[in-house]
Amino acid sequence: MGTGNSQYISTFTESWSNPNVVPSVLDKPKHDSLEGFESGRQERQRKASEEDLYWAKIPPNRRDYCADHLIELQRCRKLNYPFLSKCEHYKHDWDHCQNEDTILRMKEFERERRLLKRDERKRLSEEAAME
Amino acid sequence: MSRLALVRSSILFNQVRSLSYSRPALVFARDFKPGEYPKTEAERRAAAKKYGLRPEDYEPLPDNGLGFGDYPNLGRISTDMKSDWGDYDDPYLKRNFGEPIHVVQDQITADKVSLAKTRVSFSQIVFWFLFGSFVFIGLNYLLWDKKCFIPIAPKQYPRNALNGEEKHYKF
Repeated sequence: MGTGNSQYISTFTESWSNPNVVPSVLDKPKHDSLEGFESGRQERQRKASEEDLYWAKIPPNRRDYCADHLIELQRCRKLNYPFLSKCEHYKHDWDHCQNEDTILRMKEFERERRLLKRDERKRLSEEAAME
Repeated sequence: MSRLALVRSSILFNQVRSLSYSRPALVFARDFKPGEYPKTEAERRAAAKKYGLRPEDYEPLPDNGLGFGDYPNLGRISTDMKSDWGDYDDPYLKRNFGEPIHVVQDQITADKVSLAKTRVSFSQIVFWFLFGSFVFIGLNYLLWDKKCFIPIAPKQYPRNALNGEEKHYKF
């Protein structure tokens, strides 16, 4: 965790002391996804169709936005079995995609957290102004 | 094997038996069978001679119902406390021929219980055990309803974005 970064712990210590500032880990975010983006945001796409996923026998928990790379990887593995080290390129692609997805989730969490803190600050300043 | 020829002493019998691993290493011999607690000085000297001790070294265990008659008290010395480098007749028991055997020698051999003073006293053990248990239980009690989690948004699946209510964007 390092000496300078206590945000990991402060996130859940804040959930004990000030719960309406901490985003939910299980539910959808409360704020609009496009709020604050003047030029809009790119949508996430998956090139593989449901039928491709069905015939590739990808389990439901793997049918995310990285499933395209996963289909290629499984195809390579099936063709090259048992020489699976030949599929390292596709594996790296899939791993890289998963890493980017995780980073995007962290960014979503942080965005939601900052918006919630902003709402809290507004609420407190309004309450202070009313007195 | 001239040792096998000397079968008169039953202490030697112990040492020969200890060469085989399928038998116990220790058999208390008829020679060392304890008698009544010695009350007179003559009885004391006779008992000391029986066990191979000097009369001034001989001290029987106290006759308080937990004693062993006139069997001597050889002190709280277990086999692992004796020197490893001594020249013993029986290296497993660290004992020479004719030496008296401790009452509970079969419990205090080097691979069993040791009577050495421990670095940590019993009261310390009790204290740290109770301390740790109360800290553990106390932390559980205080933090039972408090959650901790990995601060990350839930995973996004394309099947949830198909109906149009939920949309997934890049940054």
